[in-house]
Amino acid sequence: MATFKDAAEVYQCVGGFFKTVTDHPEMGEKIGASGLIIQFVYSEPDSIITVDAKNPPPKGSFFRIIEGPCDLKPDVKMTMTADIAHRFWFGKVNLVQALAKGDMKAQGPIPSILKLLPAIKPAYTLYPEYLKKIGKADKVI
Amino acid sequence: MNGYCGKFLRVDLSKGSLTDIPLSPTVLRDYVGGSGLAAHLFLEEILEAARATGRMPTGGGVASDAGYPDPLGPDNPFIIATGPLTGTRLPATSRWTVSARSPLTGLWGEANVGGFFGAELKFAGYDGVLVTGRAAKPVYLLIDRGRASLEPADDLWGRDTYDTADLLAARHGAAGTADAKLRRPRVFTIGPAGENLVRYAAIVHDKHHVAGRTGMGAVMGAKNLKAVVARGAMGQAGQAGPEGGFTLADPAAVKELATGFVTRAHENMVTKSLHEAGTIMGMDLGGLIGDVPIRNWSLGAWGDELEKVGVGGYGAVLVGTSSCFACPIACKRKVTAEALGRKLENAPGAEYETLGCLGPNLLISDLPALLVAGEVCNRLGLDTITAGGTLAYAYEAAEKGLLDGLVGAGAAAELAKGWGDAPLMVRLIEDIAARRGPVGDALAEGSTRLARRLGRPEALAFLATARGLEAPAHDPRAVHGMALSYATSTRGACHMNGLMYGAEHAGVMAPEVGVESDGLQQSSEGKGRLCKLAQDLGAVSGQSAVLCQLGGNMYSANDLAAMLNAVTGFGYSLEDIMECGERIWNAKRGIGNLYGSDGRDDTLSPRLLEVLEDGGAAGSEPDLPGMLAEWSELRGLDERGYARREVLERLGLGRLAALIGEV
Repeated sequence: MATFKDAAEVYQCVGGFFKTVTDHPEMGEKIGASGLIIQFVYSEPDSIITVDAKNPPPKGSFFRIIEGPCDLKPDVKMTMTADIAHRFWFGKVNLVQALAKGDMKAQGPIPSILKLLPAIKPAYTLYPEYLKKIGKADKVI
Repeated sequence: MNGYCGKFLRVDLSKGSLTDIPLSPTVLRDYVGGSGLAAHLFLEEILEAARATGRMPTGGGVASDAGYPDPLGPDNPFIIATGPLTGTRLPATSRWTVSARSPLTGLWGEANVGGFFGAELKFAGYDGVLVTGRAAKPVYLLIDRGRASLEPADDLWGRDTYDTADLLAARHGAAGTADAKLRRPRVFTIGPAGENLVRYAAIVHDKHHVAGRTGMGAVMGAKNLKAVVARGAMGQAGQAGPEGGFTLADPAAVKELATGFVTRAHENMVTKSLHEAGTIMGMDLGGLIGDVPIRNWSLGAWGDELEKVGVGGYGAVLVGTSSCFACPIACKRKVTAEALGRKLENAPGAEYETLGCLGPNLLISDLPALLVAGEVCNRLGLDTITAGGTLAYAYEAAEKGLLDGLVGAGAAAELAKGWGDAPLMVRLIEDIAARRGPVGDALAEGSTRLARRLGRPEALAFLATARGLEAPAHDPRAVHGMALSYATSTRGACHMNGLMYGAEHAGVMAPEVGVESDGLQQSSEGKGRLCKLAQDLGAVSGQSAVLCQLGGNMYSANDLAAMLNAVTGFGYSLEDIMECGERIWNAKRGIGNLYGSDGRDDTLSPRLLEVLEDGGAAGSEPDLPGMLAEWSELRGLDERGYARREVLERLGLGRLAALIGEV
């Protein structure tokens, strides 16, 4: 059974989490400094989250989050199921294997993607905390 | 014979003789090539020595020179071996191997290297070279379009590997000759570390390709063999004549496979990533899961420092890429950097293992300084993995007050403060290669022998080794299968001894022979079986065929069979390949048994199993006994950790079984 029942729940959990880190002193700053537009295209359920670190962010944030389709042209596009995305933010996805098996597809300059990996490490603890905070503790794995 | 030249060159340096060794199709089919074939030839040599002289192969176990043949003596056979795919246009197949009894571990030693030399050797007419004896004076071996000769190397002795490569390339190159079409000679050579018998001396080919592990450079140095130069008459597979070369069983099939695999290499995410980021991506990927060694494997995290030596940091020094023979992936890096008063200009750039072992493991994140250190190691001919592991061990030993008696209080105090000190690291590397002073001489022995010399049980507790070989930059606490893979590797702690690393961490998938990970790196469940199968498949693919274990990650077992069959015409089934792998693995394990290693060595030094408090592998504890029990059962080992006689006999290793029984 899929983790998320619909796109709204993806946006509430994953999108909402992304929004909480837009001003994170460590993670937010590094993602913001990348200057990239990174688009996550999810299936099951279909949903799109775009991280825009190229255009000026809202005050107090390092980047902005757009939920749903948008006109921005992504520098990096990551395609996967919402389940994989959910597991990834717990540090439960073997990244290389997922890419090799096609469970996760990446388009764009690979060094730019790899450079961001150290930045996302705090997410592994922040995401479960966020889910508990919004009453979604049942989704913690 | 297709895929092979069908012969090895035998070089007896004591006699100065050069003769051909014909290879039978049966032996080639059973042992494939590379270090698998080398293990067979090694066994034949020691069996012949036992028959002729009555001297039985014996040893004193891990990190011991005891027994026969002495790893640094004339009778230790040193074997250079290519594989059937070497020299074809199939991607990621450029590699070749060097093997002997290791002067570092005292057991089976082998190292694996890419570049162009292997292909050139086959174009020059030989599948490999078997060297015995010791030259009275330094020599190099020249194999030029089917003709071999020993040449004086007095003027090369003492020179570093870069100078030697340049001098020999100039001496035997086209410049100054009437033949403008003369192919470029390919050189692999030892540096001062090999000449000085540093136990982890490497062999360096054309400055950018290193056979690093298990001290094969010291074996060459002990034989007074400075270098080997190869040049063929032609530059591609499919033709054979008196000047060299080899034919293909099905040239059209090879071409079709090559075309398809080149396309795959450009599309596969792992090979694409290797092209765009090189092996350096291991720092960023490994940093996420706690795979990178930090401060002699004692820490799980190091703030933001890993980023400085990862893909992001490397971008500032990267000026280009380069490849091995016929490989479209081009994962090698070229760099321009300046540090410690030295400049690198469009120079070969250090790879992940070098950065991991000399960098975070010594708390150094100054990337230009690490690139300089990598080049110093390459020029001097030192394995960067064991160099980093030995330095880290020495720093910690000095901190604990264990080194004062051996190297003096002043030197020990300097070592104790070595963490993070890049200039000291480079100076120590130079001292080690020269065996200069008590510190250089002691550290030239590697960490296991150094620990033993300290003569105190607590000195063994913070080694990071298996079977006397320092672990590469992949933490078994982050990827549990690596704990078993290191513990049972036939050459000691090594991520390339079998395909376990590939299966668990680098996208290798061969479900058709059971090599498929569940993706759970910090789980020990089912890893005994996976490791056994990954070892058997890897014994053929990465060690004998000889596929690159980076680019080769895109191949399945079916792909391997298709390539081998198109090139050799041997008609391997998947079962045949797995049986060959089992045979080769057991041959190497059996050689280790002859030299005194047994099941008690199927373990890791304690430091590699200490639970980390932070980082991606915090709290992770591999179930080594559980994995080992499953693996041992599948391997058919007896209570001593020896393969049962019926297992060896089933694999055609009856003579090895008898020999093990005798010694």
